[in-house]
Amino acid sequence: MMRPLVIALALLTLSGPTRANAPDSWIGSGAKWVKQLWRNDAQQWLDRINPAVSNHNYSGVLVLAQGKTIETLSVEHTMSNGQETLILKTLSGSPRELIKRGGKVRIDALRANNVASGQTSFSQFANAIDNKWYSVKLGEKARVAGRSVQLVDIEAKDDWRYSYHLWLDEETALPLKVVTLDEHGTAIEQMVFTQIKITPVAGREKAAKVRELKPLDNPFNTVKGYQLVARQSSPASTHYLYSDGLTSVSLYVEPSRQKEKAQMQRDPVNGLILDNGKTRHVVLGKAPIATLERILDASLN
Amino acid sequence: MKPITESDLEQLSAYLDGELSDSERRFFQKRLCADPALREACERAWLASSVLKAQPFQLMPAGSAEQICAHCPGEPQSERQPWRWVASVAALALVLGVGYQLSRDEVSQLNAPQQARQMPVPAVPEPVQSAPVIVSQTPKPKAVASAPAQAPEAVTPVAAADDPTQFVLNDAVRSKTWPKSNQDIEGYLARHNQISYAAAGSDLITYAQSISEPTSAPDNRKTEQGEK
Repeated sequence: MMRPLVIALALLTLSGPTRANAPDSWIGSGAKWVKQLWRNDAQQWLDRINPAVSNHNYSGVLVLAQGKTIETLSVEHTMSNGQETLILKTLSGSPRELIKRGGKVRIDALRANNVASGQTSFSQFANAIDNKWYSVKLGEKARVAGRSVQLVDIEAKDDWRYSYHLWLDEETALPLKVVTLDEHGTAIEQMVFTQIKITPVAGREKAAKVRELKPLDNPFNTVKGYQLVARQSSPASTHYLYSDGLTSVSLYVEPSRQKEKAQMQRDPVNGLILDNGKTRHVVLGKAPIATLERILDASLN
Repeated sequence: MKPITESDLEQLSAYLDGELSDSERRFFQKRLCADPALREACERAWLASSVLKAQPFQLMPAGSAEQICAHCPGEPQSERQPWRWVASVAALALVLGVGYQLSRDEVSQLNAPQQARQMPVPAVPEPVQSAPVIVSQTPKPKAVASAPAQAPEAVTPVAAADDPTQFVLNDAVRSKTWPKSNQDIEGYLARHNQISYAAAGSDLITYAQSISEPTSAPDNRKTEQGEK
């Protein structure tokens, strides 16, 4: 009795791909519904980050934990006529203030002006979906600073780089919590808003441009996806910046008259120095120590 | 926490058997301290090893395998229900049809934005790094007078060089810790942050770091960047 029904269903299904193109066909609607379930939501969340930063004013209290160090800061971010103003003030330890306005960053403690690199953004995370060294997936929903957030996991595919957990505000997609995990899965850096007030910017601001870096010619062997993206030269030193798209490592090669070997770890930042009396090689960045050793090794060979 | 890999288990086995070198053993012990899953696996393996080592070695009697098989029940005979077979084929056809349609639409939709948005750094397909390039696993402090004499160079196996857990850490370089108050380090960090901002943009974390850490004034060096 069921046999004709089953065969009819099978024939109908096989004819589906052509019929599904019709937008109002029932199978087309069904396909859309199933596709909604299968779409790559993580990509959509990451795509929303930079427009969220540009189109919202926010102020609140930010806690930055690095290793055993915890710093509390007040944050005030406003956008007006395409101009970003960002004011950060330390609430713990010695008072320090950073003001970013009109394309310049001023740090009171330094009494120095730096040229800022465009809008404050999380561009590196926005690009993570296309980065072959990381996999991105959605995690569970949670709550940060009294707001509903969505967890997005950016997991390193190997042990040569760190992984990241982002908690994005469900309403605006602003990153309210960012945790950096080392190669063993241990949290080594955490940034979290404990209080935040978000208001939409009047009008529509242009989102920060996602930076696309072109690799430069690397005089040394490339190490596991860390490509040379910037070089800074002076008679006293040559500075190479390597990046895998999310994190960066610096290599300094400069003349020296000392002999020194050292390793340092300051919370998420690792560093190596090798001084042979003629040349000093310094490697540092937010990357596993083994990665720095490979980059140092490549520069010595 | 990362899942335990085949290589972890091999290293764990070598650790329990005392086959790791001093530096490998120290590195593995550090990993054990930091990785609860690995520690648990180590405890299980150690327990199993201890129990097995305590047991007398005994051969199983000949033909025991056949005896065990004889006690196993045979596969149950399924009732002949032809409609189930037809239903399975129909379900398979349904899945294939919908799957084909979805994958075609998905590919056509995803291709467009991916073409427009080029990959930031790994955009240029990087040639797979030939692991044997690392002839010596440690950075070569050739000109350092106090460095130990170089051992004969050994070619590192591919798997070992590609796996950071197999990477022999450089004890010579690790022998000294960089003091936090070192002004040189502050300068290097400040320059690293500065060039990173310029090259890749900056986020709240980097700005927060720059006022939560003591930094030195940036310099004005000529920078060559690879921004498109």
